[in-house]
Amino acid sequence: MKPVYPLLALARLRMGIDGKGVTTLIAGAGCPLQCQWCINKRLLREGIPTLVSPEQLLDRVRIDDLYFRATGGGITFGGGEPLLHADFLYEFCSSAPSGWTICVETSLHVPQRNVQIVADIADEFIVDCKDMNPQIYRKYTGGNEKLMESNLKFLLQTVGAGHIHVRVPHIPGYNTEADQANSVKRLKSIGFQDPELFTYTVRD
Amino acid sequence: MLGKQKCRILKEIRQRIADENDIPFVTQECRHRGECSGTCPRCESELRYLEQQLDRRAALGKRITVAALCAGIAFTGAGCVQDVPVITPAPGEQLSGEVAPYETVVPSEEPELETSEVAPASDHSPAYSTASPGTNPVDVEEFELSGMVPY
Repeated sequence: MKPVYPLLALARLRMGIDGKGVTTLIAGAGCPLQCQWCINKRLLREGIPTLVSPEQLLDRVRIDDLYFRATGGGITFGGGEPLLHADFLYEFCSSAPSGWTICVETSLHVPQRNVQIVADIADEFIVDCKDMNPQIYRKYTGGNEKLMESNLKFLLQTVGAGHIHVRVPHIPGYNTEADQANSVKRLKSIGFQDPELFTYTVRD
Repeated sequence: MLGKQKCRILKEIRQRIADENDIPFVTQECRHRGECSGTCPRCESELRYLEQQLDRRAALGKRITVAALCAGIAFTGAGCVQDVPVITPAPGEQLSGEVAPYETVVPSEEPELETSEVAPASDHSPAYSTASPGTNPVDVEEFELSGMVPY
């Protein structure tokens, strides 16, 4: 049976936000983490996903094929956690026209099998590691940092640091700049020399 | 990125594709003064026209050049911000909008767009809609990823 994707939102013609060139963001439902400041929480909670097949989704995004190919852009899967739907991503990417860049924005808080499936076919990964401190990570996400870190190492071995963009947020109320610096230090020891620092935007 | 900036970049991409592939293509400056989503029916029709022409060239065995043609274009405008709020249309909401006046010389053989593919001019409308009855519309103008910032 063909896998389906719980599509929540689709945004065309994005530039300079989530990958190189012109991209279409595909947001899916479902995430194993419970992050307090999740900016998409309302949409994830209230949105009713539409289940689509790989072919149906391809039909919808193919409209920008020329822009993708001309700019080196393509598709960015966001969420939610897109790696929860690894089989779908594999089918989709296997059918996508050559010349599209496939990017996955992920927390890596998924079974390693899922990472392995998508590592074979995606071009770029954007990883929000939250915080490398176990206490902070667990308090903020409700998840297990060991799973994220082991997947991060696995991904590094599989696709190489050049295909992974690691981001380290300042999480208001949960970590400090010193914690961020500690996370960067930890990431560098793993093999990521240039993690990106940024700050979560907290909205009422 | 503002819609107008986006529109200008996309227009430049279309022009480069046409020039590189010897496709007749003449476009004029958009004179629309209001809000812009970055694309509109006229822009979309130009894109479809280029696709059609490229297909014809391919069928004739002519060389096609598209890949990485515009890789050097700067995609971040000055003061670039995520300036458009998240819009989630209600189920069943009609996702059509005002069409921006756009003075463009369009080749006569341009294809007509289906209504469902038409992008409205308003920044508060989705880029396009193909929502089916009984499903939740899923197209939004901008959907924010957690903490995403421009590269």
